[in-house]
Amino acid sequence: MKVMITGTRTGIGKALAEHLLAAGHEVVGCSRKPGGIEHERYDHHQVDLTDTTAVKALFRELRRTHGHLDALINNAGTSVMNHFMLTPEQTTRRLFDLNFFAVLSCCREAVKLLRRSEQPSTSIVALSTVAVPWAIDGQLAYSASKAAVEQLVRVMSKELAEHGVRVNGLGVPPVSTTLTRTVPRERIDGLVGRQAIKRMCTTADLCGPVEFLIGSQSAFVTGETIFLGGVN
Amino acid sequence: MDDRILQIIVSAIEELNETREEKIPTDNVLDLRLYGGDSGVFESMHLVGFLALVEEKLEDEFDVEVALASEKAVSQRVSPFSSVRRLVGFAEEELRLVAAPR
Repeated sequence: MKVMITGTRTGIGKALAEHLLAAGHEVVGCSRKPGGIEHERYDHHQVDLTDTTAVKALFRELRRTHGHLDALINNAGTSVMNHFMLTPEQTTRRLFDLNFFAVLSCCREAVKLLRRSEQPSTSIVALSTVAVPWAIDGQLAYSASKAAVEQLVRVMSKELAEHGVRVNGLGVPPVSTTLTRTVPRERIDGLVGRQAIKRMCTTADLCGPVEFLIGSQSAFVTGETIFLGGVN
Repeated sequence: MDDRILQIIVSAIEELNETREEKIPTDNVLDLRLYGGDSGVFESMHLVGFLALVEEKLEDEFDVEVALASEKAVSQRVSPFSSVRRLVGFAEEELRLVAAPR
């Protein structure tokens, strides 16, 4: 399969890219800074996903060079942890630009390439967070942006079903990445303690579910956000 | 009117016709009703696919990034997607906007 993953420079995106490459897939990745993966089946692009024109140019380039995509994994995102009374409005808007609007524009452009796939069923996956169902204090902007992504998953799954594109979400508990490195240890421990499976989620825990969601085994699954670790 | 835009729209229709049982007529194409009313040739889902195809072809032909889902498109009293004639006019305007220096 030919899979595009956003935000592959570090963390979850990089781990997913390396896993899918090892499984024999072709991976297109992107990040604002240069990529760190060297592989003959890996193609990296530097792009600011909040720039809609740049996103359109990227996908146009992919159409020229790759012809099609079989799956899109919307992984790139950012977070802000602060009381909402102390969060500047611009910070929230910037966060929505990347966590929601960039996902929307990537999906819009990717659909054109997914329609050219020869796979019977193509797939879009978007990452979400336990901060949505748990409504974690101090994460209003972050969880609101991801709640919007979950709604995108539900609505888009209906609007794209006739085009043969499935849309699903993957809700992750705290994972040890640059996104969580500034969160105090006791806060992380508290969140892990709320999970049914009481250990920290690793990037490896995401690989199986992502492979399932982009593969033919989930051909009848769309509009769902699957949570890891037992959070509901 | 830019003939290249009309040619692009016709080629998009012809591309879709390859997989359609009921072919969309391309003679007198300017007056072809794309969407709405009794004579619109596309259901809303098919219109989306058609416009995505036209968008790709416009980008390739004119070497620009253009989105046919603009504010202007959804705010017009008569949809620019209702007929080929309106779509050509609308695409001309959008291309002018993206070509203009920012």
